[in-house]
Amino acid sequence: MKPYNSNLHLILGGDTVTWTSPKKWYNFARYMNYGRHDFYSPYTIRNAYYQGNTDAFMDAPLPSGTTITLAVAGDSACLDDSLQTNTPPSGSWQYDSLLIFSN
Amino acid sequence: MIKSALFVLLQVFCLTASFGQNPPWKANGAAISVRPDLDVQWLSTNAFPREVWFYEIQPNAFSSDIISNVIEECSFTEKDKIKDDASGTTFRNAEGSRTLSISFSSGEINYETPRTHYGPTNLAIDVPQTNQLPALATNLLQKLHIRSSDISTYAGQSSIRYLEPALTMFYAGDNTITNIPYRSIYFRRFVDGMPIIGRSSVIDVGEHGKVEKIAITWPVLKRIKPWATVTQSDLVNYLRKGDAIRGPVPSDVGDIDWPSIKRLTIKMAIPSYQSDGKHLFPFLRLDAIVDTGSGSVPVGMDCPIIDEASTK
Repeated sequence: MKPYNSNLHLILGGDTVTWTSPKKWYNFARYMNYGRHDFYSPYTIRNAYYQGNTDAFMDAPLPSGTTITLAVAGDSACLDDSLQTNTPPSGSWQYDSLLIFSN
Repeated sequence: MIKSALFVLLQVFCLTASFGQNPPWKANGAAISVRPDLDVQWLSTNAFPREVWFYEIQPNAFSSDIISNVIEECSFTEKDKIKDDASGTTFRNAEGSRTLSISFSSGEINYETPRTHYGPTNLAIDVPQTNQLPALATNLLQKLHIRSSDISTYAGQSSIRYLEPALTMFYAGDNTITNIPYRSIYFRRFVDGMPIIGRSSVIDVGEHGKVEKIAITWPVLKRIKPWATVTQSDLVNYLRKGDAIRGPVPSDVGDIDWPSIKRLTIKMAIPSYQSDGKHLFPFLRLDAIVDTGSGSVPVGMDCPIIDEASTK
């Protein structure tokens, strides 16, 4: 069962257990709206989600052996949607995952 | 001579003064509250070094051999050089899509290539399998002059890992097509057998074994001052006095109400270093289990490994 219809752009979630962090949502919002650096260069929604989490957990004490893999599923045409621009769904579906922490 | 001695003394004074006030590990998580009655079970059995060091982080000019190896590995030539000064050197291809930055001032090597957009009819070809990565890693680390002792614990255990971090599944009708765009070699720098916490170094290897990304931070480290490590009894006292921080919890747990926890079990204690950009500071990273009274929650913690109050 895939939660897909012709209007869906993206679903952001996890491929493993995720961990709490106020920083990850702060980063996610900042990177989507402004970017990661001190100049305006907004990230795509997918990349802001991945990079915001990566940066949030970089120094965090997590128990040894912890792995965090995030996933972004959605229409293939929308994987690079941003807050500023987006593409209408094309009808093809894909599932993308990225390891963002492993110790 | 007197000037030099005064300079060293001043340097040590500045370092220790700043360390005692604000060790960087305290920013890694949430402060825990004071619990003089906290039931702490210490199950970790690994021995600590008797002393640990403060290090000063210094620029790394990287040897000409390392630089030429990296330039070759990233398929650049001298004509691609767009910057070359005392702080570092940068290469970029004519299309502007690939960049190699070697920073002497921060001791970093970063190589970035654009990620290819794959699709169900355009899959990544000939990406090395995980079991092919060790041979590639040995070759690449030799080119970077990184020794196995630089990435190993004091027990000799290597930090190198071979991962498949990215995956895409395309759905075409009833068929699922999986694409692995690259595989990665992860390693962590160790100093005196202790890991430097933070972002791992990584080398991504993509189609036909081509290096697609290098991200390495490898500054020169200068020993400044040794400090004796504390006893297990001291560590338990730190935890009871709230002189520690705890990390995140699994999202399905919610949160931990520290004042009401029943027991803290320390499964493993790992002497570690953390950088503030200018210095490396020693601290202790803990694998812990918190008995909340309604369940057990795995949590990471950081606490002092030396008597930080005495450094003020």
